[in-house]
Amino acid sequence: MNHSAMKRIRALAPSLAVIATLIAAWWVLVAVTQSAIFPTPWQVAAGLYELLRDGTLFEHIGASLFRVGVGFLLAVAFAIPLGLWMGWVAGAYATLNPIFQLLRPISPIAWIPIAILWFGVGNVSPIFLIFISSVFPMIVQTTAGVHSIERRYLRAAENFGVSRYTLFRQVVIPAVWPQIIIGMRIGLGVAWLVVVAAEMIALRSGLGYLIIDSRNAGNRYDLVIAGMIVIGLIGLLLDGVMRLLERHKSVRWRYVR
Amino acid sequence: MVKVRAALLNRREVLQGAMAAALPFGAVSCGGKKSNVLQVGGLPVTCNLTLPVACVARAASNALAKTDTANFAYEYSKYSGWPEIKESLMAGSIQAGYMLAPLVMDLADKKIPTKIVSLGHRSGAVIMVRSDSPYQTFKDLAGKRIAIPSRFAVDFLFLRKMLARENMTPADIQIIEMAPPDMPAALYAKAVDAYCTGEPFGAAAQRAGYARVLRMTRDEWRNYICCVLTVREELIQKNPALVQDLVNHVLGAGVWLDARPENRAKAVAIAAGRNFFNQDPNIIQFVMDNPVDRVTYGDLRMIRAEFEELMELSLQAGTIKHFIPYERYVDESFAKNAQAASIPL
Repeated sequence: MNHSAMKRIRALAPSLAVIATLIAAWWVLVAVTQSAIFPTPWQVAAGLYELLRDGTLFEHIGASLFRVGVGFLLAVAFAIPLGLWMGWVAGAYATLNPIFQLLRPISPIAWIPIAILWFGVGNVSPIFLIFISSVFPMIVQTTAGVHSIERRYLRAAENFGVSRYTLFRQVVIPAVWPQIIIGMRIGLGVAWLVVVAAEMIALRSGLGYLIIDSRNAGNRYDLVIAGMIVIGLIGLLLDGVMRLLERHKSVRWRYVR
Repeated sequence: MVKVRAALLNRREVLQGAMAAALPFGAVSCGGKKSNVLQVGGLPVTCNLTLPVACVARAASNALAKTDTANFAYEYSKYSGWPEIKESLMAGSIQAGYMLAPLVMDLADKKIPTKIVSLGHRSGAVIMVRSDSPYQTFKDLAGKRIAIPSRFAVDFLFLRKMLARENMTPADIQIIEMAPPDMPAALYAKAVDAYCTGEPFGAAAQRAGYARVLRMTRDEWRNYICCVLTVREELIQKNPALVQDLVNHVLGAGVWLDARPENRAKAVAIAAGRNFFNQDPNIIQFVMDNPVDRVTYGDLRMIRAEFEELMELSLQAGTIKHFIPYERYVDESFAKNAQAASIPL
């Protein structure tokens, strides 16, 4: 127990050292240049504490997690069946893939005017922007997963004379599942990545709103950076949760080499 | 985050490209004389209209001038939002720009060496509602959703002033912050019941036929100020003659704009161009004509009491935390010595 804890600390030590060095360099640079604009790490910490004390930080975090959660889950519910279908049916792939490839590279910022027109200003517009950003990578990943199933699994199943339905349910889905999990991990990463863009039209809450509002205020760049750091930390946490899914026994076979 | 950054970067690159494209034109119109081009930041809004006029007028006088002496030249540097101009001024990447007055007060107080040297306009903000809505008075907006550009914009102070006049409080309405270009569409889609912002975003919806003016600063707050010419203190110290010349041209542009309707039509043609606002000239012309004093430029006097009123309103709104003395954010000397430059357009 003690030994393994020691090992983990030792493994983390280099990255912690780099973070500490970066913070120190940031502090020194701000102090040396006597910047009136760029806050010191201490000012950022003080800004963060201010948000913690008046409770707004948790409101912002809660609002962002809610929007990202709903947008992401909707995207999962949409992308996985569609990706499986597109992977399995060549006609569906040929029909839909060009459209999705066309929509995929469009930044959520470009969607803002359309989102306002369609969904107004409220929670729905940011959720839509998060959905639209995370749905395409998951479709692509799921489709690619179906395409990469090894032929011998399918042939083996065919030799047993199973129906197409059984083949799909008992061979294809388990075979694609690891790819789907990877797709979800990418999708959640993207969903969280676009939270600032999505919350440009949010109603007075969310970490993205916090950053934009602090930017509109005079000189509150301490809160801008505090918001960035919180987004980074939560992103790390979300990725950690998705990594846990990769350890599940139904998918581990795929990752072990 | 990365995507947002990339998008901003692209926009900036595009802007820089546009500026670079505008540069040869500026140099040519200076008749090849050695000139000192000052970039002045501004937004594509009619409150900033004196700026394109001042830039083009200065270039025109330079072209007419016969002497070989070094002269000044101004270049309009288009930004897409107040935070971007503010950050460029803070970082010193531009030395002058049109800014929101309360934002300059706050910056000057936070040791960013900036000073207001001239007004840019008066009036020019509107509260818009849908044409088919039942709202006739401001009081009818009780409980409704009203969009404003941000709590730090003077439009918000206008809204608060209206609330106070009707014995209402900010709790009686629902305020939504939104980029002004998105407001007409939001009103059209009934995402908001009204919006309060600077022109031409009111006129855009009005001219399209689905919105009407509920209230305008013309009737409610005639001496309303939002955009003021702000310069960094280094520029004042290094080149006061340049600042004076710029202030003279802004003042001259204002007098010229309000002197004759033909002048305004010329200004519309200039401002609608790609190097300036890049907007539909008909919409800018609509702002100029409906009615003619929807936004005014002829009276750019700096009046202490007006700034202190803005200060007081900002303090009440909580967007400025403590009183900041007038002298800290205003340098009156240029406006006091200003002589309206002639506008040879």
